[in-house]
Amino acid sequence: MSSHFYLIRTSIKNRFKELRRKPGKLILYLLVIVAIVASLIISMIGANHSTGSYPVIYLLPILFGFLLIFYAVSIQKGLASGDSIFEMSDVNLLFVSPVNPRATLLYGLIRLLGTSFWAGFFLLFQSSSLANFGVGFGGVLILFGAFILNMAALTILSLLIYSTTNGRPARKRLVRILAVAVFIPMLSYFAVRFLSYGNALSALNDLMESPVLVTAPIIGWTSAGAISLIEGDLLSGLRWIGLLVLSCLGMLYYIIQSRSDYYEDVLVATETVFEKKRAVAEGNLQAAGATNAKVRVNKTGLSGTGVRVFVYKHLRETFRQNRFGFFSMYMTIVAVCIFFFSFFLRNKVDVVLVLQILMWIQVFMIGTGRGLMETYSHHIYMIPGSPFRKLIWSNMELMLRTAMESVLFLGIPGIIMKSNLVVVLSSMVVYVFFSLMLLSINYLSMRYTEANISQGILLVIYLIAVLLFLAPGLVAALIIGFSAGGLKGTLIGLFILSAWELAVSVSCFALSRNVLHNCDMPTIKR
Amino acid sequence: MIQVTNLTKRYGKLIANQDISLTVNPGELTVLLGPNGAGKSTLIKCICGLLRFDGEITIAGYDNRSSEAKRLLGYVPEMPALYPMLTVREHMEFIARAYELAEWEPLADELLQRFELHDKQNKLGKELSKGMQQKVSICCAVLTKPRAVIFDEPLVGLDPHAIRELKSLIAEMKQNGCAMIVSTHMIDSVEENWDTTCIMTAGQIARACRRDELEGGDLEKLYFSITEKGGGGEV
Repeated sequence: MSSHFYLIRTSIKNRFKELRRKPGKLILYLLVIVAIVASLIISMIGANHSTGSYPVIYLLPILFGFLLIFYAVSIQKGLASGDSIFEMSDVNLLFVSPVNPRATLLYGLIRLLGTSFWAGFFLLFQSSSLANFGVGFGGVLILFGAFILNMAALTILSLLIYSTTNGRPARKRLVRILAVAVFIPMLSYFAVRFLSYGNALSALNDLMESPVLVTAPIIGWTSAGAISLIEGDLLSGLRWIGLLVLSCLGMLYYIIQSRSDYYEDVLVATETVFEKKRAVAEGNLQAAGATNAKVRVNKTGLSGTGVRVFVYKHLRETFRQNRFGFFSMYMTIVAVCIFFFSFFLRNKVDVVLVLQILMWIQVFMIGTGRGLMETYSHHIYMIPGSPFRKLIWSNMELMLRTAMESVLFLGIPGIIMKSNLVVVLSSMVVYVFFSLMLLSINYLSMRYTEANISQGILLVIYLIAVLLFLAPGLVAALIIGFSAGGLKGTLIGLFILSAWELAVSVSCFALSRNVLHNCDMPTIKR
Repeated sequence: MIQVTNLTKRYGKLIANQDISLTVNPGELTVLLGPNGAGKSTLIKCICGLLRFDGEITIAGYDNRSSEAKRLLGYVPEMPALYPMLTVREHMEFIARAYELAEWEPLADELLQRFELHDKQNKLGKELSKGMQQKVSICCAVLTKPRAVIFDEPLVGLDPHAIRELKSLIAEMKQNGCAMIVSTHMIDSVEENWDTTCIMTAGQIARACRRDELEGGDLEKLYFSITEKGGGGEV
């Protein structure tokens, strides 16, 4: 029996066996299945009753912008250490065995598809948001499939970039330029069409029909392919997806042909990922989040005394990690996408739609705050001081970042969209209070689970808690807002929502004020 | 100084530590020995207030979760966890500011010098090797001039110079009345300085004894007599 086949088969078999020993994991899987079925039912009902508030073509820039984040990450990984499709166990056992390296690469790719499958899982829960664009469950599945393919293609691209640029600074510079330049034709074409028509809908339709989209590799093809298939244009959809598949095969062919000994190219990335996983397993989340990028140490020193030092430490770390401080790559990409979105669709959408999308992203992004990461290190527990004050000061940097995001993501786009100023300000307040609420729910989940739970189950509990806590305020805001109607209704709705978020935040923080005394220092449990 | 009374730590059905009691007096070094999985690190984390537990732990009479106790306690974790974006010097400054230490810089300089980190003060945490991270971790733990220190496998990854310095630092702290618990698998590394030992198996203290109670003073012999006969020693 082929060793690769044996590995895949045995790993899958052992995964199922593990479920007998870990009922928590089984419950998690069951919850995921229940959520997918619920999502299917909701989208089927939604598809029968609604044709969507916005044309499906508007999904093209949203999907493109979303995939752009992954594209930027892949290019960065490719220029640094490549992307990993193998585990360290493969390196130690498989790479040194007398097996065909090409079969090993195929084995790595099969595993990669499995990883991409889980990475795209969250899309299945987007049915209600996607219903706004008239996308039913079939459409959600198309997006899911396209996302998996896109992630696989980006990993191979990253591998290719590393393999061709490793140790060659001139090539690295060229890749950096090309990575941005490839989108210029597409964006220029869209801008010209937009200026001539004066509306984004026609310009987007033209872009979809235009061959210029060919120049936007992988993410442009994925977006165009998925939207065409959702619209029912099978021929066009298959053309784009076919191009994506061909590009993957082409890149793989190039890697194998040009470097028959590709093991060296994947080794660094595999070791990097392994080290990060080990750091996570040891609870050293700070090290796990560190990159290999060179950091210039100019200004040194901290300010503040007692527990206040946390905020100054976090600010120093943030500004050292990125010389523009809060303006990280994530923030820049999201801001640019929203600026484009708000400029080209300024007469079609309002700031509340942007708020809705941002709130969804924030549910997942809040966990990256330095305050929550701090709970994985012993210092926050051992430093003398009130546990509640430690919570407050260790999350101050995140709240400053959130306030800045609200200006950048909602304030400026609101002005571009010429939205009502009070609506814009209210949306900013809703966004900031929502972030505060998410933070407080994180600590509350930590308190009630006592941090002695697997990360997957903790994430599910957190998501359920967010839904449960948000629901009453959201429902009240929608009902009262819709009954009042118009601008007044929007303002009342936003006011109710922000007041509810603040009330929930205060209550959750009050309940979890002693969390640093009452729960175990968390460790990552899988 | 460090008083642990009837400590039990459970993870669901698993009992990691069961009914543990121990006392470490000022100026004493207690060495915690035991095979992998015996519950040493769990006990240490409970003492440091990183885990919940049943029972009572006090540091100089203060509950171990109180600010007074935290101010008196230092901890060197098994895995040094430095902040990747802070320099070595900033780690020391962070601790000094958080503990509101006055005149901390001379001691910081001395510690950095002793552990050969003085020329690496502007290196970031992520740029340090594991051994250097361990040295920074030790410097941070003793910068606060603690009255009690817990070392969890402090010698792992250290170079011979740092091992010598750490041993001498421990001896100095002992002389100054600091109570210490050292968990280690390198029994010979504590042969010179230990006063009491607790040998743990399966979450319990299988044998606790003072140096003068041990005939011949051979700690290694005692360890194997307990752990390789399935326990059974006096508690």
